[in-house]
Amino acid sequence: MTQSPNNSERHPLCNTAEHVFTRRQLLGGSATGLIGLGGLGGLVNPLFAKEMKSKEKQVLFIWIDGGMSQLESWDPKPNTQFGGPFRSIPTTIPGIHVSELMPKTSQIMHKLAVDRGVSTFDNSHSAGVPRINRGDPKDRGVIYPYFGSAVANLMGPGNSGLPPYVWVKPGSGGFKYQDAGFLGPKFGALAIGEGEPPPNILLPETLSSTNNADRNSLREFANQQYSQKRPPKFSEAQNFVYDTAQALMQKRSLFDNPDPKDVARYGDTPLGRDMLIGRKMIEAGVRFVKVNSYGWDTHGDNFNAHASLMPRFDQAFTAVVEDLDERGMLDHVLVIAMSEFGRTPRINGHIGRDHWPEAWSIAMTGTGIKQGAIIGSTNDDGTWVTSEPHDIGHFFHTWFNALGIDSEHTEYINDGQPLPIADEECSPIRELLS
Amino acid sequence: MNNIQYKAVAAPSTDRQLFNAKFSHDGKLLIAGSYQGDLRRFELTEAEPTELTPFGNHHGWVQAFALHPTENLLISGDSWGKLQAHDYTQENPMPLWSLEDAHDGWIRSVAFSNTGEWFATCGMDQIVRIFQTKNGKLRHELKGHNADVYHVLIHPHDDSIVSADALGNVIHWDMKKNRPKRQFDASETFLAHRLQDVGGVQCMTWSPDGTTLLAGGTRPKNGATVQGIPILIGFSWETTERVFLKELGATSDCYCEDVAYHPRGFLMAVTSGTPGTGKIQFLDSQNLDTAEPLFLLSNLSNCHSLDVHPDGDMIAVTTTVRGSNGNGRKVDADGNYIGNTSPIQLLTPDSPMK
Repeated sequence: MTQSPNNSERHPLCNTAEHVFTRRQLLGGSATGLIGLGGLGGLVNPLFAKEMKSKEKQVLFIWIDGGMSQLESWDPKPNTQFGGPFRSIPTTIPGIHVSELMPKTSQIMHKLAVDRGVSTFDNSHSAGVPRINRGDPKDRGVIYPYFGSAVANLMGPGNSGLPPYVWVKPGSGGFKYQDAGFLGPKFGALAIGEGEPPPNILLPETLSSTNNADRNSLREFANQQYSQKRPPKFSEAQNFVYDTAQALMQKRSLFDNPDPKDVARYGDTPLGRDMLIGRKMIEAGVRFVKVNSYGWDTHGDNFNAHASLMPRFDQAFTAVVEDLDERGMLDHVLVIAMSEFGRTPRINGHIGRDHWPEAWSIAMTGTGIKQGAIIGSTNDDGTWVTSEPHDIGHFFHTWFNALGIDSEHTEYINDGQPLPIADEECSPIRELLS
Repeated sequence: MNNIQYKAVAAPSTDRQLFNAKFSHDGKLLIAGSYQGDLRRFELTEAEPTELTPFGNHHGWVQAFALHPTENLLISGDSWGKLQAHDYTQENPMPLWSLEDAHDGWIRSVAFSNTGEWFATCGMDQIVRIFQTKNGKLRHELKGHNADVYHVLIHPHDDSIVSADALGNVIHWDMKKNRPKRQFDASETFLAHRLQDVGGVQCMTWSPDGTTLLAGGTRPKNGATVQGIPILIGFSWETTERVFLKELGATSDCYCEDVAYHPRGFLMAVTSGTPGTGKIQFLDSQNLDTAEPLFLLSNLSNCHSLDVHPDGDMIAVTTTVRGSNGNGRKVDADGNYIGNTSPIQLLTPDSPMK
């Protein structure tokens, strides 16, 4: 039996009064600058927008949907009551072990940073997924953007000509505007489903360039008519989607059949396929790429499930980190691997683990991240965090800072309303930053 | 046969979850592997089962163990690959021999030959191994599975070895050539869903006359929170042809976790589903197509194994605590995190079986 920590002690890093004061100072000092602006969607301070445009940092965000078990991955507790059947194995960092289901990851551990002291609030998917993806900010009556939309807005599309936020996933593709929240649909995600390019991406052979130009003129005329009586964000989004399609038409090679050697290294699995596409998107200059894996909600048969899930994650994750490293891209690409929560230490009757936001792990590497930083800890049987617990707000601050964004002094401007980009009651986790 | 009625008489449990409760040959002990590195025993000679000293000094989970057919000897394998032999009747059983790395990782199943001279094991390393009982010396190594091997079984007449894996492939081994001799197709128990390998053969047994091989599992519908219809597939031992497929419930009932023939001839199966669904049912083995089971007990929670007492009456079913599933923190009044346990349901017939 282990003692539950007091909820009031969850975030000792935070000093609410201090954060509020800083924010008030900032608001007072920058009021004249907080006007709707054109640069990056008209939603950020212009000086900041100019600075961000010059940075070409990128993000590869690996979303393990449903909840990877921390005990079968980053924070094993072998031979304990809740430890499960698996052994732990040493890594390239002396004294640090991971589950035996991650043999490849164990060999690149020195390139990663892992926080084993993650403690969040939501134990349901419906609440946890959006709140984690939005950084769980205070409720200000607006819907905050997912991290990908936030980065697309704050850092812009870069120079690739490609959409700033691409979501590579199993299932359907399309344009997923919902992630953008108050930023508006333009900052939604272009989803690549099942590794397939958006349909009809190539011009019909029967369409000449002249006819295509005429067709575009007609479309632009119609768009202007449409825009005149509607809020600009809708027509902006519509034009954005069209421009995105045009850009992708020029980059059809992103969807060419992969090199069989790459398939062998990444794994002939949906995650291997999507991770490989994700790498290509990053190489092509997409600002934010989310690679999604589904099927991790292992309420039943958790251990047999992780016995096949984890090695496939291990293979694809290790391959992409090694590739980015070999290409020198970890200097400017932030890589994050996470779920919406971890899984219960308690093993239920169906040999499953349920949802557990109390004590879990997040892994990362790349730009701005201190490689080999394995921070945070849980108690001997993995039930509670024993180090300073880190909520998702801390990670948003950390990742923004890793990307060169001062998360404590940068704001969105939503119809004149200044909004912090990350929970002002949290702060960057300095141990994770290089 | 049509009026079988069983009732629960006791439900011993320990401070840890348990696997595969089995009766000793004399019926005086009930033995189970634990989720934390040992084996647990209950003495059944008193009115209430009494827990005896745990033994085993294992690691991880002790899912796999078997009792010697004639001696007070138990072979146990753990999820880290360790094998041990013990006299389970001793007050504080000490290992007679021990193999730290008998397999690379999780040992899933142990089965004795008919004389007990040797035994077979299988596990996560996809290998079936044959060891000498008296000293643990390796005699054979059988490679041919392409997945975690979940179950190994010895034929009651000629010591033929069959093993079944996570992909639903059942292999009859040629012991002279150390390679597969015949294969039985139970792939209906497997589904590749997203990244996950779902299902596989969870249990096997022989018909009493040795002519039919039964493989149990689920017909998976999806991975993650696995759902599927529990099924039993019967194969002709002579031809490898499928001779029956019996569905044992609905999608929520999920896995057929264990199956056995009762000495009186009927077939018994237990199922475990989500959340907390568990059933034991007795089937007329001569009329498996009959819709209604001879006996059905559906108020148990997650039934994982069954065994019949040597007296032919009492049955032990390893279950779990109702309501043991659930998200988030479950703490007691003192703030202590609550684990799970595995009550072993002891059931007896309303009147002695004849």
